[in-house]
Amino acid sequence: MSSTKPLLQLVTVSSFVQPSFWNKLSELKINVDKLNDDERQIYGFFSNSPTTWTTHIVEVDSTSFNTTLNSQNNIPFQGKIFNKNTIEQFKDCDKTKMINEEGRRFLEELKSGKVLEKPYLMNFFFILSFSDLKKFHFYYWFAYPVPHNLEISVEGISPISEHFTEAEVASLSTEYTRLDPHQKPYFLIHNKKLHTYHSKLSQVSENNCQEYYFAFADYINSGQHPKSQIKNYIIFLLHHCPFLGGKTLNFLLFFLDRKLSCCQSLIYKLTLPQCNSTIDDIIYGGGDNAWAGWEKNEKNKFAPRFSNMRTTMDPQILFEESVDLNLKLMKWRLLPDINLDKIKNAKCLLLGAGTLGCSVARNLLGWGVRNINFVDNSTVSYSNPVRQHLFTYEDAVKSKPKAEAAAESLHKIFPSINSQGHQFTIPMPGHNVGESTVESVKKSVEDLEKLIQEHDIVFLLTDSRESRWLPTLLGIFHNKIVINVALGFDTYLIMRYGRKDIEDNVKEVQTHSAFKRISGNELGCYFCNDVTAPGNSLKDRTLDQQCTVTRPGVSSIAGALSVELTVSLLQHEEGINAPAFYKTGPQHEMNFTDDQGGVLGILPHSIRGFLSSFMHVLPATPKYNQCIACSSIVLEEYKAKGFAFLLETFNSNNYLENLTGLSKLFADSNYADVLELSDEEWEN
Amino acid sequence: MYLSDSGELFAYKCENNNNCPFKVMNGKITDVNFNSHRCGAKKTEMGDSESSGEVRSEEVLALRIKFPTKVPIIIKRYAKEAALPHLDKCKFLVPQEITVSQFQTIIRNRLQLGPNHALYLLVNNRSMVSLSLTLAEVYSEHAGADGFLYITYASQEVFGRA
Repeated sequence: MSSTKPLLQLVTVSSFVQPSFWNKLSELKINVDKLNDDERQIYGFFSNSPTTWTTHIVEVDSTSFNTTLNSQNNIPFQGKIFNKNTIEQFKDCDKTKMINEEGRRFLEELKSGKVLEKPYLMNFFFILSFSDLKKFHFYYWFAYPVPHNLEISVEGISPISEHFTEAEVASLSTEYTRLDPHQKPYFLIHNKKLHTYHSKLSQVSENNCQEYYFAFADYINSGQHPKSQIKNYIIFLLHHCPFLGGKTLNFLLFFLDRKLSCCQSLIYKLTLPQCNSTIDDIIYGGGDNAWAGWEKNEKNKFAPRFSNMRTTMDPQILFEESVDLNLKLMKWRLLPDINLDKIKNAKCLLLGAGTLGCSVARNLLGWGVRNINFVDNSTVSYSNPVRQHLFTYEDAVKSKPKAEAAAESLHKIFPSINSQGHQFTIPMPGHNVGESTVESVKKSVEDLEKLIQEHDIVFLLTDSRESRWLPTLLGIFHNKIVINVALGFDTYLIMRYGRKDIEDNVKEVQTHSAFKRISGNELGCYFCNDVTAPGNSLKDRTLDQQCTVTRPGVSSIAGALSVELTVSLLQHEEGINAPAFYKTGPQHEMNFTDDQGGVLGILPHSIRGFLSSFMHVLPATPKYNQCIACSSIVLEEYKAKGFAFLLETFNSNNYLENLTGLSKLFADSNYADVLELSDEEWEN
Repeated sequence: MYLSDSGELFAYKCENNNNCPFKVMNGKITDVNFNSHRCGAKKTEMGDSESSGEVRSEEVLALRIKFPTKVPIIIKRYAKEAALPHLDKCKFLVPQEITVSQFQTIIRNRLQLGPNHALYLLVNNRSMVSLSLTLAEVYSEHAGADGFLYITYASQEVFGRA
């Protein structure tokens, strides 16, 4: 009998992916899911339609990942995404198996009563995808599983106006807009009133079923073919009301137009398939692989689609996201505990924009640091660009101020950077300040102190011992992380300073026979290793003694190491207070253990490198109580007298030595007791 | 002579197999033969103070007995150092109660360094010690197996910008 009637023609809905969906997916993949490729629940919804469509479109966007449904007037779809880790996994997974598993899962939900409670679950789909996050390429394939074995025949199609008066249509429209979104896609109409399935389906009986309109929200296309999900709808009805099998019933294709009227809706008289036992028999009558619904691609083939988002995104944002991507990938496997925001948000002040400044800035960029400011007093000269890799020939021709040129260069490399150059000379001990220059020196001190206060990390990358003195004092005074880097011809020193702490609580502690530990507030500074105050070291020196005559690789190595030390320090749970461990026994026998370091490993106090032997040593020294920069005598003096104290040190070579008692030490040192042992043959 | 032949790190032969006695004359110590010490110095740089508790060379023992309050130190210039001069002597017996800072002052004076030149001392080519420590403290921790404390001096790095 049914073979004589025309079969109901259905259309598979099409997908439309908003760019925001891919953005959100990338973000979740990088930051949350990482290597985990478990499925994710998502929502889709019918696009707001102009009037009618040639095809029905399900849209996904960034809100698809919300945990609760929030799609107001749109008709929701329940979906999930299987985002694979590699293109191979994407290609190799068994598509037939997938769609059938999803179909079976739907049947389970149907039988558990979940679908009756939330009929929108009959609108279900899934996406198989692979996202190449480096290239912003997305491969994806939508599927809308429905049982292909179900035959529904059509008795006739008529406009809603043949069944309902204009007033009834208007009232239905109003009632519909008040429905819960979970109920909107499928509902019942009885006695011209709208009812949800879970409230009304139990009252449908073999005798009264003709009084009902089984409504579904859909769009009207030119061929008047409903969406394929009608098959899931029929299964749902047959499962809950098997007596409907073989019956011819009224189905309402409910279409709400832009004026929020459903007057264009259509009524289909459909004959349901016979249901002699269970729905499983109907669905799986033709075999186990009963579910179909993979979407065709643009070429009308059953194959995945491809989307290249690179062209649609703002290149600056793309760049910024890519910078972060490389770092965030560390969290996937290698360093799940690294805190990248701490690094990204660190404000770095680079004192000196020369060979070290350029190297340090470049390495900070690599770690995703967004705030890098420079201080320098000179201009780019012709000898600079080949070694100082933020500068170019052009900068040298124009004699651009180094600090400014370095900041400009960072902007060119990475437009999202916050970087500024400040041009002034750091005041130095032993560099006399005359009456006429007092005001400008005072301003430099104020500028420097303000900059140091505004930043989290201060890098000392200047060119002389004396220029490191004031920033050392101020950095420690304001409890900033201070990283001091200095170069020799083929040697380099990288050192982190300890925290200002007058109390002597923890001295050197032996933690292991082979290690000693110096706590963070006991670590010495650059000036703790010698007994002389800095003076004007540039006087009476030949050109080769004044310039940074070094092996060219030294600055890159030292710059890179200093940034890595800084990042290790930022990742240590104690930060600036992180203790330093150092070995006391033969080196080859021992390794540092995990509990001596942070997320990235151990934190030496200093790193001394010797290129002539390609060796590093990691010495640690405690504060020297007569240090001319970081001892409490000096810090207290600065606290009490401020600029007046600084002025004294600028103008007098001996002031600091007298203050810290070094002068007395020189006087007291008794050399008579030192015995020499002759060694003529020693120097060979 | 100094160690048993089985001691791998220090199993060296003195060139003329001399006993290297120190002769103390007029309050100063002079040396008859230092070949063995040179060997010793080189070996200890490699071997570190691992076996500092082991047998020390006889002459250092003799020195320690004769001058119980002084520590024997060998101080050398860093091999690649260009800015600092050599010391005319490199073996010293130094009062053990003086601090490293005082010792550094002595070195600076011997090198006749101006106040603007900074240097640092490296013990056993590896460790840096606090200026506040006494030489006795440094000696007890870092002395080599042959009984000498090995110290290297080098210019403090200062460059970075130009």
